[in-house]
Amino acid sequence: MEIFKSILNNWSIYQLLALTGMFLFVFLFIVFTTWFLSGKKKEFVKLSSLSLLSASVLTVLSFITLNVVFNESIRYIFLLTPVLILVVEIISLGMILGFFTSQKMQKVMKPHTLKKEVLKDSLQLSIFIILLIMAFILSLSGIYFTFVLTTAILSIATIWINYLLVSLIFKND
Amino acid sequence: MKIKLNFNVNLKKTFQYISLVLLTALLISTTLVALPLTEKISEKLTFNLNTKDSQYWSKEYFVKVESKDEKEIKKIKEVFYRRLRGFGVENSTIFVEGGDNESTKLRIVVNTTKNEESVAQLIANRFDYKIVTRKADVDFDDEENPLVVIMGENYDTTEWDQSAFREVYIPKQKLRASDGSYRYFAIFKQKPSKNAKLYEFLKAKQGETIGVDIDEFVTPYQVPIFQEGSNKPESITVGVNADDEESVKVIRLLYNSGHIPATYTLESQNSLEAQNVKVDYIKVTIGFAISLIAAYLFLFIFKYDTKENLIKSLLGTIIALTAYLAYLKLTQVPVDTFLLTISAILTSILIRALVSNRDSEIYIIIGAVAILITISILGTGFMRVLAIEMIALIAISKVSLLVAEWYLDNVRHL
Repeated sequence: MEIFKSILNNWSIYQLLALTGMFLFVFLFIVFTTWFLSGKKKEFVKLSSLSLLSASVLTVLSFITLNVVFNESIRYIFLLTPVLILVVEIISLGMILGFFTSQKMQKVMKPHTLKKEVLKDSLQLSIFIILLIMAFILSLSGIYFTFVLTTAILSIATIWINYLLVSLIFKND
Repeated sequence: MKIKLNFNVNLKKTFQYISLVLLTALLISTTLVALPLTEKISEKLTFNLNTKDSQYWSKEYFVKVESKDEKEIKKIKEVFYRRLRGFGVENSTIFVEGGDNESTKLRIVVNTTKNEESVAQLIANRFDYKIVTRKADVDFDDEENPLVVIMGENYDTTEWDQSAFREVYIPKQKLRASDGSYRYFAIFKQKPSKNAKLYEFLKAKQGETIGVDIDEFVTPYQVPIFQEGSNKPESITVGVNADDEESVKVIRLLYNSGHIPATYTLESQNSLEAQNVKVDYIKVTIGFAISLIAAYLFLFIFKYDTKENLIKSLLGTIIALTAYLAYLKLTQVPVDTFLLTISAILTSILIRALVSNRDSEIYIIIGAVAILITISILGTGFMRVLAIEMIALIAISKVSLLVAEWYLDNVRHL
């Protein structure tokens, strides 16, 4: 709770409003855009909103865990974590949406094909994140090591949550 | 004897050859410029990555505000935050730290690469401005006391204070002053509802010298004489005491970041250990190159994509990153190596995603750019720096992919 108290006490209202507005806009933008571009499929509203919400909850929980369990102070550098996760979200959701729309146009859309493609893409993204982060993380220490490691784990978790959501949402479509 | 030369040259093919040779040369050059330590190859050129890492400094400023009103304290925090954010300070936090019965103490912690003197100015000056008129009983022509003109105590206040103006506009270019020199000017733009009233006020004072009082120091302003048919003065304009663009930026922020409702003093300032990460970019570059090749080998061995697509995305990544690094090195733009590495990782992932699923390209690019623009406008600190860097890298990535595609197609045809 100290993290939230600190944010409320030390951040200016402008800063709080700007960041809240920013995340709210990004959330609505992603949900609306995926819904519209998928041909107004409500499955994409579920997928994008659940994916973003789960990523947010995971991020907040990981910060609390770091602070309470590992006694790490959550410094300003951790503000980058949501931004990086958002970029990974855009790539992951964009890949799902791209494959979905191309299949839809060819009228060959099958849930298992989509699942297979998302699995392939998720594996590919995870391999890239793991290998590229490994090259970087070895030269870091302290809070920056924790930040990169946490962000990498959260990014990979986000990708696999998307795969899980695709499996659940597009089950009977 | 007649010699007949047959110049049956395929112009298209020749042009293709020349373009390929030139592009290959360009790619090799940018790679050499971008690679770490290659600047040591030639003594004639001195280019290296201009890192911000050693430029970081950190300080805490203790400010005593003569108020206990919570609303006023919140407002003051807002103004400080806006000033520091507007100046591009990477990280600033404002703590409320008690005080006594009549005052509140604020601790402003700054961690940045920006000019230390300018940051101190943004914190130390209240910049409470108002329009004042000369007191009748003061001799402003007293040669023994030249400071009489600038001291606020010698002026009467008017109803024209900060609340009457919507903006103080300082043009980016210097303007010609009455003495023929060029200097920066501040134009006080009143609220539209005050236009007529200000005109009446200035008309009543035409030909007289009034002044703009900023924190008890006055800059005189000679109200012009209104002539029939001539342009009416629509605003008050005074000279700005600044010579360079950075000082003007500071003054612009001091004028326009909001009104600080209570008086305050900067009591003390202490240096702190700068919070920054020093990344050994030579080691990181080598590690990054190995990891990138390993990732592509993995995808190739396990047949994640066609050989052509893998080569295209690898070449696209190399072109994008080397072009960006070469640009940074040649222009000497200061850069955070930590953020640069993160951007490079994201770019590699992005290019791979774009090539592996061409149908997603438009969604990923538009989505990422829209979100990054939002972050660059509303974000704070490092968020904005990373967002701006990523927008540039997305644009470079798209161009690099087109170049890589053209290059590979033509090499294959030859």
